[in-house]
Amino acid sequence: MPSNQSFLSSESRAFELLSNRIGVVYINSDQIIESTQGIAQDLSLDRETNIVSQPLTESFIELFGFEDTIDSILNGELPYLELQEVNRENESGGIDYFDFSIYPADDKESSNGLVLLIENITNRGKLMQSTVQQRNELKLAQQELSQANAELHSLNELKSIFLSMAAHDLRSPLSVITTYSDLMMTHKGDLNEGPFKPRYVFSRILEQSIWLNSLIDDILNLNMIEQGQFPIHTEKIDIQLPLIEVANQFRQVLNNRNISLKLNVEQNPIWVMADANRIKQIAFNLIGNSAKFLGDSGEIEVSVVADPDENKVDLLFADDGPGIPEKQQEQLFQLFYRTPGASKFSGTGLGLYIVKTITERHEGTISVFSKEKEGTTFKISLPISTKE
Amino acid sequence: MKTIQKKICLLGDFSVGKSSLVRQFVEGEFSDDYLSTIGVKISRKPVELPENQVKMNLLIWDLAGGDDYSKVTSGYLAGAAGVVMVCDVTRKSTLSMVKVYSNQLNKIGKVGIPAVLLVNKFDLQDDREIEDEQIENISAELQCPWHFSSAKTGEGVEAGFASLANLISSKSKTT
Repeated sequence: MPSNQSFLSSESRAFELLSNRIGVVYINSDQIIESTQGIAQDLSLDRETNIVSQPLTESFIELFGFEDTIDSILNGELPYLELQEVNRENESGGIDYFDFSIYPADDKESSNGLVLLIENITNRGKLMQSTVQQRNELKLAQQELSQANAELHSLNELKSIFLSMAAHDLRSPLSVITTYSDLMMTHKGDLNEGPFKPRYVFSRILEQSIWLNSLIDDILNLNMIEQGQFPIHTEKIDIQLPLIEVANQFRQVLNNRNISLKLNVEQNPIWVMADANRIKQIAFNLIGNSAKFLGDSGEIEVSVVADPDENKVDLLFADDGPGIPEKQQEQLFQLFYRTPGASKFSGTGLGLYIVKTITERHEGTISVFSKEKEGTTFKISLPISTKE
Repeated sequence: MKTIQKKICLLGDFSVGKSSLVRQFVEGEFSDDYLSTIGVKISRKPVELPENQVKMNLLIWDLAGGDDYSKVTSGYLAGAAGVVMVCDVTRKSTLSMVKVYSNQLNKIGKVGIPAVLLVNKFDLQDDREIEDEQIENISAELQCPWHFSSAKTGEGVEAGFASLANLISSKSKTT
């Protein structure tokens, strides 16, 4: 059993330990500080100035705004006030945590004064902070995971739709090619005297072959893009040449439909570091799209406009087709996206996604300008080569 | 110019950037590290409102976001003259939480308290999940102005807090 002397010394040690963790502020009924103990003075707003005789809410800004609540405690209407986990930045830039509580100074119905207790709970606070931090990070990770999951799910659904569309789209041109070839093979006598002129039949076969070829290209390209292996072999080329080549190919087909294809190119070469085959792919997709939506008549205009001041060249693909509603324009370049109006035409929703990918791989930008019933223009801007 | 002191509180879901907004507004600094707030951190910043001929010392209460909103709002909002609601433009769910906080404010009798909505992390707008129309709808429902903000770049931060200070000042004049 400890002697009286050692007990008293333990008691004073305990008081000393408490004083390092707890601050006590005695407040009169006018909310003025009467006296302080422990760490209270050090935690006041101006720790260098004695806070005795100062208004409580001026010395502890945490209590600003609680004047009415404090009055209610003085009047016995409220038993106490607690503010938990008040953060204070310490001298080393870390955070210390404190609990603030205000109680009546006595147990009478209406109190003459109040006691503010400030407890340093930093160790507990740090533990709680770390728990909350882990919980929040886990929640964020869960949210990201469920979002990624939803995106994967929707991509999977789109892929299924795409596969069924692709199967259908591959079959349509093949059946046209088969029918016309069969017609030519089985026709007896002079072909020029049959129901279909050979030139018309071959142009239909060519048209469907081009479409079939571009569809297979798109599917192969998508596969490469998804695997991160979409090669671009750039060299210094006159950007107008691949466009002229594609336009000439299309002209043969479009001549049989009442669609005119106008090509505006400049006399001098415009040098761009580009992959000619990929640029042809862009032109194929964009001219092909216009031709598809124009139906039996209309105009397609392809223009090349160099802007040496801005060090760029714009490739413009314009048509006077049905146009695209503004709300749908933002989604045009998304994988598998097809406008509601496109559902009556064959297509996979790959073309514009691939066009955008190719453009960006050339450090270019693509934009669309369209107005319903007036037409659509796609603008591809590419940097002009400054290499000698 | 008259000087007044007002308490304002920041409310919003966890990790929307409330503490970063306060840090950018008060100290002009930003850190990419995410440190969850527990309880409350109070900062001070004077704002001059020449239109109202007032200098307002703002006591900014940065409150913990997340599941404990009922505890936080009822306990800490006493004496608040205004609130800054914060959501994260890259997380749709945080806009719904703004409504939850607003309902909580109404429950504790803070109907009509001056408020602004900050749609934060606007520097990450490529990952945007909240559309203008959705913000307009909530802003109209809560009858509070809104601003895009970025604690990282500072965009919209001063404007957001100044807008709330002006609302508080105008309300003080009329009451």
